[in-house]
Amino acid sequence: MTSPTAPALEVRGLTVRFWRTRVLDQLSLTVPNGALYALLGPNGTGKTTLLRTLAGISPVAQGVVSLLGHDRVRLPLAVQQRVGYVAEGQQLPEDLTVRHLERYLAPLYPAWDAARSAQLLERFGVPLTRRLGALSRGQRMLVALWAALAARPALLLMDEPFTGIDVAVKDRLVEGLLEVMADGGVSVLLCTHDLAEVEMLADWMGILRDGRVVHSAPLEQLRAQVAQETGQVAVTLKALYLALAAAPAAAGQSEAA
Amino acid sequence: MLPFPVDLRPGESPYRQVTYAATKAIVAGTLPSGAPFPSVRELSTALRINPNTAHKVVTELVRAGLLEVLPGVGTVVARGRAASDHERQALLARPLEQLVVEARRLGLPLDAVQDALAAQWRAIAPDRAPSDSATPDHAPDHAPEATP
Repeated sequence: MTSPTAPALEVRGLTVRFWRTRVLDQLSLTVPNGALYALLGPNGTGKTTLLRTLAGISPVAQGVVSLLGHDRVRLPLAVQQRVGYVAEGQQLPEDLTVRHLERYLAPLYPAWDAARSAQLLERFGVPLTRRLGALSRGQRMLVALWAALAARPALLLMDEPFTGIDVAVKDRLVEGLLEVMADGGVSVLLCTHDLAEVEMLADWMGILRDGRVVHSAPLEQLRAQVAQETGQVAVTLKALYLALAAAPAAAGQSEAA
Repeated sequence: MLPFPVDLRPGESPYRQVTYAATKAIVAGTLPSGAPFPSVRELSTALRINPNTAHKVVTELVRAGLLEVLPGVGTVVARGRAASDHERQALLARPLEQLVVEARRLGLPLDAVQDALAAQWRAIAPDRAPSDSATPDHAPDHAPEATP
């Protein structure tokens, strides 16, 4: 069903236009198997457009998107079911409770993991019998992540999951994600501008700029590179981001090159 | 709760920081030989680091001979080993690197840094100072220059 040798996600030459404006311009991106890839960039650079295209919410107009070794355009249902998507302000069925939602989702996902579901619900501590519409923003994000993770995704797409939620909820989100990552078999693409939160989490990163991904590499490699260039011993992710965001994308660093 | 202290700071790779903290705990005896070492999952969730990073840490410590994997038991601090001078010295690599970088940035020559180091050494361990610096004219016998 999924190809173990293919990267979890591979994008080549993806271009998305809104009217005359190119939001994504010949974008290329590879997320290696098992990685947590942080895609950084300011708001309005096309992160959400990219993730919606990857998730299949928007069509692939131009370019090739390959998820778990399969072309997005003819994605088999069995593969689609292994791709999770969690986004800031995600729509949830307002009138259902977590219990209702679980009864609805479990039969739809062959890989649904009841034990993991129970474990995550306990860790997240969200009310199980209250209408989802009555939950706080943070609780709704926890519900969205729970639903995605209980379906045992092989690829998880996360769009600004930390925006507008308090620190305690953030901690629970991160711990739930790490718990599931420790089981193995999941790769994550995390789009965010919350640099502090991904400092310890990411093992790969890239920057979305002018519709392309630049400086895509293992985080440690980028850190060592910037440390050497600046003569600093410590390079925080913020310093790294500012140094790279300003630096021209050298040949070979931009995947589009 | 981890059996050894790790103070993760932004700016340096979590892999290097955790490897350093664990090595220090093992070499200093805080984690005695045979003591259970946290699993990848425990390291990852307790420190909130990527499990891939936690895995790399454990792999590196096993490779370095500090940990051993006991089938059916888990990972423990390697038994029947005493920390060598070399291992203890290796722990200084990180603070030394920081010291050298800072000194060079400040434009200080090597001998000024050596003097400052010696002064600090005497200030903190005054009782050991006389024997350490009693014979400045003689090269220490382990130094390569001492060979005729």
